Amino acid sequence: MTGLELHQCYDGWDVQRRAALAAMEQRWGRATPTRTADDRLVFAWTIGNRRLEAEDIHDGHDGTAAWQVTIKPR
Amino acid sequence: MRVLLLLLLAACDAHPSRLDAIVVTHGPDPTPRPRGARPIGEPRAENRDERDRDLDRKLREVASRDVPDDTASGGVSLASVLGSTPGPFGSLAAIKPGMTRTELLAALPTAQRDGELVWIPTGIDGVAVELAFDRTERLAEIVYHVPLAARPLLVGAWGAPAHETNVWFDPTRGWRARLGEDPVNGKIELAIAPYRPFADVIGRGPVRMASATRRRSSAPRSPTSRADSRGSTRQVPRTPSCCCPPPTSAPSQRVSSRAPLTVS
Repeated sequence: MTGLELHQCYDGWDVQRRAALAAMEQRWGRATPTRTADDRLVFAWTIGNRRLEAEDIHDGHDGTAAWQVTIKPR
Repeated sequence: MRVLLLLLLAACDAHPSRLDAIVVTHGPDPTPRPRGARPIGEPRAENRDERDRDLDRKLREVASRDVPDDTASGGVSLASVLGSTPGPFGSLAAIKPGMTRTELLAALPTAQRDGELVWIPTGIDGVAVELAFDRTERLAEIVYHVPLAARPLLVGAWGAPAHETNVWFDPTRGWRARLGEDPVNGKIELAIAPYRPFADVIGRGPVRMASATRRRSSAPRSPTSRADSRGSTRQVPRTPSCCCPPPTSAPSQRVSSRAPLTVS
């Protein structure tokens, strides 16, 4: 296994988006807002030799909203 | 001859088991006859008026009478079987999250298999149910078809839904219930599906990643860690009401916690 991607959808309300972020920060510590090489805004963690990035992929057109968490080796 | 046409429309939002409307049309008399004449057996005008009034009275009585709903089977009321927490109810109360199709069919002898669906008589007035399974043959969703008037019953039994949603959660048993309204058909769907709180998926507490911790541990797994391991690798349930978009990349392993969020 070289990587892992986790999707946590929510109903589009900011309180739910924040609750998911709070759960991730409770587990992995304070997140660092950052910009990726391909110009995406993500929250990032570095844990050991792993890189975690959480991106809010809220789509206003079809109403879908989710946190997409990508875990990869550093 | 008088043509009497009764159209019985039995779909009513507020009272689904009550006649919604009766439309009576009086067509033209097709039989020509001399002015002043009346057919044999036809009452005089004053008697005809009396008969019309009597007919109108009978129609009003019929319109106000309860008629059996097509889904009603003389069963129990919905309010009496809901319980205090969201989850399967009635004859399906014994269902546990994660049950396979075989386990469920064995547990519910009245269930009937129909391809990918399982139909089960609920024994509840006005309520039908269907079950769906995911690709791993595990229970994905229980969909109750209930009358519109059921929503207040759900709120009364389970409390208010989650913030600005029509979703109830039972994190203890691992059930979530989502209400979908369909006013066109005069029904609502109550979809009950197993779920895991997001904090259980990623782990709780300020420690390292749960998967790394478990992998390095040589001690026997606790029941909690077994559940975490199974949940993190099992197939994603089919949840049509889910809001997750399709993934955009193809990593070696993908985990999706598709239940709407609860962090408890």
